[in-house]
Amino acid sequence: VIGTKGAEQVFIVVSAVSGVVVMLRSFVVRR
Amino acid sequence: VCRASVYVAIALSGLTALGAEVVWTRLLSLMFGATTYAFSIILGVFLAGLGIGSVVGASLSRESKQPRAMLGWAQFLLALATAWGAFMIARELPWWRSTSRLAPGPWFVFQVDLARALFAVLPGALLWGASFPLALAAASEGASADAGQTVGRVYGANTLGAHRGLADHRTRVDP
Repeated sequence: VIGTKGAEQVFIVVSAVSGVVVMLRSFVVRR
Repeated sequence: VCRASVYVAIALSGLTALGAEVVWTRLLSLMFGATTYAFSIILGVFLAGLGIGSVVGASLSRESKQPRAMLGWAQFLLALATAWGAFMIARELPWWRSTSRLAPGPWFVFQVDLARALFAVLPGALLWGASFPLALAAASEGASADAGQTVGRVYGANTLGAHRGLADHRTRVDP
């Protein structure tokens, strides 16, 4: 059980990682 | 063009959106009081943010030549918006008091609670709303599939992620 604070931290990390991955993929696609 | 990252990103966007909504509703209800009005305020702000964000995202995706990069930015900014919401709810909003005994009336309490919900929830809701049309535009880049298929896939991924966010809340966050 991670609790509400842990859940917020998971959401922050998940959003940041998925954002960076999609940005990098868009760079690869453009090239 | 590989679209897997777009579908995964919009699924994770759905997961974080519904997950954060449940977490923030629970935390804000502690401040507002566990009433139907409190839940209505939070849900109303969340849905208004999704709607406004969708309109802005649709406009951006029409004008942008790089919707995939914009989706990435929206997701990255969501990390900041989630941190902002968590910080506001934990550190700032509890001090914005509206003690019903001292307030001139229920309308005043409603306004203070609405302002608190707007400050905490709206930035994230706007970005979650904008992510969907941006994901649609990104998934349609160079697509040979028809529009219905693309919309169905993006919507399906988003909904499955949202369902996962709600299901995990029961088992992993707050059983």
